[in-house]
Amino acid sequence: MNTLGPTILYLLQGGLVTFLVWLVTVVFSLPLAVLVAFVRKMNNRFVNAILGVYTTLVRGTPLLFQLIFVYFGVPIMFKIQLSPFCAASLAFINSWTIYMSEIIRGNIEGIDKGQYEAGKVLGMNYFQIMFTVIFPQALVTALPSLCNQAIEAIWGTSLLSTIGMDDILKSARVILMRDFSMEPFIIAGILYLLFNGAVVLLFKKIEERTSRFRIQYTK
Amino acid sequence: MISVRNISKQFKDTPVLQDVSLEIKKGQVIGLIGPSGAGKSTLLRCIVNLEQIDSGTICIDSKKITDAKMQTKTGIVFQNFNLFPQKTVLENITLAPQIVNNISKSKANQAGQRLLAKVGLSDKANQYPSELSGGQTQRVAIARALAMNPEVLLFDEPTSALDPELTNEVLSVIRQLARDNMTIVIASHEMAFIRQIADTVIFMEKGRIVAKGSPTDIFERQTNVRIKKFIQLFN
Repeated sequence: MNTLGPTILYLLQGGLVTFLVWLVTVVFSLPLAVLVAFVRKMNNRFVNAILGVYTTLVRGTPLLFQLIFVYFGVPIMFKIQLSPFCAASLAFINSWTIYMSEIIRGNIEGIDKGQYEAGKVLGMNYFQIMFTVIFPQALVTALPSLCNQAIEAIWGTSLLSTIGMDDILKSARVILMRDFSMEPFIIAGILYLLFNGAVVLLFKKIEERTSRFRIQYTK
Repeated sequence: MISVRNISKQFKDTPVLQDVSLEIKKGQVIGLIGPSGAGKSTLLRCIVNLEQIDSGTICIDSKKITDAKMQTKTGIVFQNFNLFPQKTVLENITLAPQIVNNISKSKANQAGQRLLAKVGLSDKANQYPSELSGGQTQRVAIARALAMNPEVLLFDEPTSALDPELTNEVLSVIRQLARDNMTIVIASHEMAFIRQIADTVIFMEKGRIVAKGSPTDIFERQTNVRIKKFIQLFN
């Protein structure tokens, strides 16, 4: 059992990679998703057509495809170099922005139109109404779905090894091959569970704190 | 002060307002009565520019209300309150003064506290709308509308979503506003209340103004059988 310490340490390094990609994904894609949802709400036909096609492309291809496309394809297309971390972040942020913008858009539709009217009669303009009244409420009602997306983003990181990054899963596999023991897999599983549990707990806390204004007026 | 001239409006093929004209003078309290679907709400919503009219004009001091700057000249209190649920009571009141009129937070808060005192809810400043009763919610909505200093305050059936025992606290706030010489147009089915506070009563039906007069004219010396029947229904 004297290998347990180094194994955990090695897996934690992989965990750091997993965590960083996840963090970058969530931190950037949420505001971007709000922005995309806002742009789509402006109902510009041309812009919406483009975003519609783009959404179809993103949702119509597997994440692994997009990851490989960004890592190998984008450098060829634009003659630039991308580190695996950059490529992974770009691919993940892109995908999660699109998925979450659809969720937020759906939740905006669910906000009572009286809320918009209340803002309008108080003299607020469209931007003020959207950003101070509508979005905060849409984000609150979207919390359970956004939590799912945040968890999906953890699982998404298990693809990182395909572009040569040493995430939790890859690290576990490396040790497994070397030692022929199940230990690293079990520890990796525990790390995933802890990570997942922390995310769920975080969202639960946010939901609790926002619960007192989770009401929809009905007639 | 506000003149509504020959306005008409249709939803698809259904006319909801037909050639409606109305003058609202400063300090006047106008009661709008009539059966559901008569166009009372639509008329009020047109005056606050929430609905577009198909023809006619609505002007405040001879300026058209469709001008964005005119929006805050009118205020409206909705039947189902429409408070912002993610904001506290005080924030509901101070949000628009801050972001629309660029009033500083401390000044807006002071004014907000004064308005809360006026509607008798000083102790609820930091509560959320979900923690209030219906009557309290509507009183906050009134304070919120007043915060923008509108020249006229419209009430679209302000007590219709309330339990009977909560109605009075809202009506007494409106009564106080009328005493303070606020210009008010109120659509309501509370006949006794309308009779008491309005100086002019308008009876609407099928998108038209059918009768207009003092409360005594409408409620006591009524000769129109249809209006008589309608009023009796509520007494």
